[in-house]
Amino acid sequence: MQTFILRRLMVGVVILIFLSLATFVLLHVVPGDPAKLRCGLSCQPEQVAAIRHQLGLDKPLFPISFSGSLPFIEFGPSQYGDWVKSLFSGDLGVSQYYQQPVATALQNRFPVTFELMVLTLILTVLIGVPFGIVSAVFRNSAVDYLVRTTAILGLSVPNFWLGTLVLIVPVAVWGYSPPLGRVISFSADPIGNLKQFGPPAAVLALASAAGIMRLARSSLLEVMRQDYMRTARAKGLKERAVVLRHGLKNSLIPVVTVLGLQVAGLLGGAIIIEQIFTLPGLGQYVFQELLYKDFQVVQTMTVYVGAIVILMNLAVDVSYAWFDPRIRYS
Amino acid sequence: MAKDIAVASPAFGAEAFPGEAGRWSRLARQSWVLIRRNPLGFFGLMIILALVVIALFGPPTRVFGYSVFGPGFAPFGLNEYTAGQPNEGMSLRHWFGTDRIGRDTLSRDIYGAQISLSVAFISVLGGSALGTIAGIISGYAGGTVDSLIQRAVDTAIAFPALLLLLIIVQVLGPSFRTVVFAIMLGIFPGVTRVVRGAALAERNNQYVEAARAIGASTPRILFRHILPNVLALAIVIMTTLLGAAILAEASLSFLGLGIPEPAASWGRDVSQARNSFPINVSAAFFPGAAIALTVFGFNMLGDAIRDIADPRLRGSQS
Repeated sequence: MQTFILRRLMVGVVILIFLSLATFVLLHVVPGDPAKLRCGLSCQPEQVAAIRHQLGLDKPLFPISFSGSLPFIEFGPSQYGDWVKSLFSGDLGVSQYYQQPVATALQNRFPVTFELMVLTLILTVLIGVPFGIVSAVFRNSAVDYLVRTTAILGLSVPNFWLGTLVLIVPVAVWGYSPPLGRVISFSADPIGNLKQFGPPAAVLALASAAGIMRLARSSLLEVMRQDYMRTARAKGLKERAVVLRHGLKNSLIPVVTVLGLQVAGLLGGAIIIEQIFTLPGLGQYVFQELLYKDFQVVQTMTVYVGAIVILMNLAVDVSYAWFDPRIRYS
Repeated sequence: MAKDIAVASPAFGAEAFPGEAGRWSRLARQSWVLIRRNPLGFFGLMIILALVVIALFGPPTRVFGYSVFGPGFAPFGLNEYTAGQPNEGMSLRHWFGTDRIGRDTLSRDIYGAQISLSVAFISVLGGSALGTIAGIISGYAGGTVDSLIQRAVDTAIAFPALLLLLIIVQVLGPSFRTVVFAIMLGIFPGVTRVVRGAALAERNNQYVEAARAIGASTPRILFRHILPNVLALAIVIMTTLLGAAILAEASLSFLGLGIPEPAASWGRDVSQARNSFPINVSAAFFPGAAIALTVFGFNMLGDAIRDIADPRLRGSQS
């Protein structure tokens, strides 16, 4: 188990290095000089040079350079090195758009996105799994067809459209809108908090719930064919006990995997949903910085998001052992 | 379930012998069996065909500046802001109402079909082609090449696709080309992974060994021997990806990083209706409904094609 986790962590580090290099290169091919942007229109060349030096933009991009003489490869200070160092030290610089240290912004905004993700995942499971069970148990019945068609529909509806309708239709019909803008903390006002986070989480959960429902259905159908299910029925267990106790737990492994994989997609969805529901979370932050072309912040966020996704996937793999004790990693 | 598979697969796989009498009636009978087995897939196909007709004949389609299908049947122009008053509701003159500056929503939806479908088809075709080539190389070569490609794929998959698309489009500047390019890059890793798996299985077959034994070059083995055997799989993945590509384009447009004006885009129309005052529900509803309908059609068609081509994948995640 330990070796498995260790190996996966090492692969994760390799992936993160790939990711950081890819975003770093991608965001440095952009024409435009951040120092000039920061300096303003009426700016003297000396001032630009000073700012370039202050930001470390006068250093080479990569720490490795090749020379004609021995030892051919030289290591030195570089922009990439500075950036990677800042990722670990937490000194992430100041956002130009928000005029605020990036680290502070991340600290303030992380709880918002975290709550949105947790609520979304809870709703996904609460909607997806029960409907999947019903659909599998009453296979090829009218209910099954209804649930399955609804699921395909759920996968087809764009979340930004649903979010927009969820916001504007109640305003048009009842003059109601959920609390927008300032975050209501859960500890201060739980109901107000849920009023604020419920609708966006529900919108975000719809597509993932539809996916989970389809998966739970096919996975449970697969398990129902197993011999031990027949044994359970033969020894006279009630159908409910057969399905819930013997079938469900064994059919949950692929469901958990996909839930873990969906986190990456949901974080992408958070960009849209936080934008629509004006939730000041990480998605809104990275999008505003991207629009403002503050790429330093974008590349930092990219690596952090990648790290979160990799850790989530590892957690999912480890959780298999809990669901199915037969699985042993070595 | 098992009986379905046994009956459905031969109907799909059996080729009508060319030149044989009754070939067309046999084809018709086989199609009928397929339709009856996959009513939802057939429904999806009908939706897509209807949308293709709308996309081709609705706006005045131009190829290299020449009008090909006449003026088109869209009642108003794309940016004809004198079509009606701002924010009109649904009426006989404007079936779907008008937007905040008086443009006809139905006409804009018809124009949008052309953009959406062309982005989806071009990007999925390009992305799958790249993914297939990378996949067979990765699967056949193995070793360092394989690990390099697979780590790159891991990197892309461990990352929110939408953020990747947004970064690429913002860096290159929003345009038709960059949006298509970004979606291609988004599609590429998933296809590579699946095709690699198939190529890995093909590699150990005897026909590959035989080809190698008679001295066939590696490119020849890759493209003349392995490619044809993984192509069916690649086509199945392509149909399931079309809906995702439509959604990706619409999401980019909604966030303002899609194909810029004056091109029509369903996603941007939803976003613009969101900011109109007084609230204009019809202008937000119909472009989004067009997206949902298109993706629904592609998803149902994709599900059906996957079921027919590979019963093992039945009901699995798209």
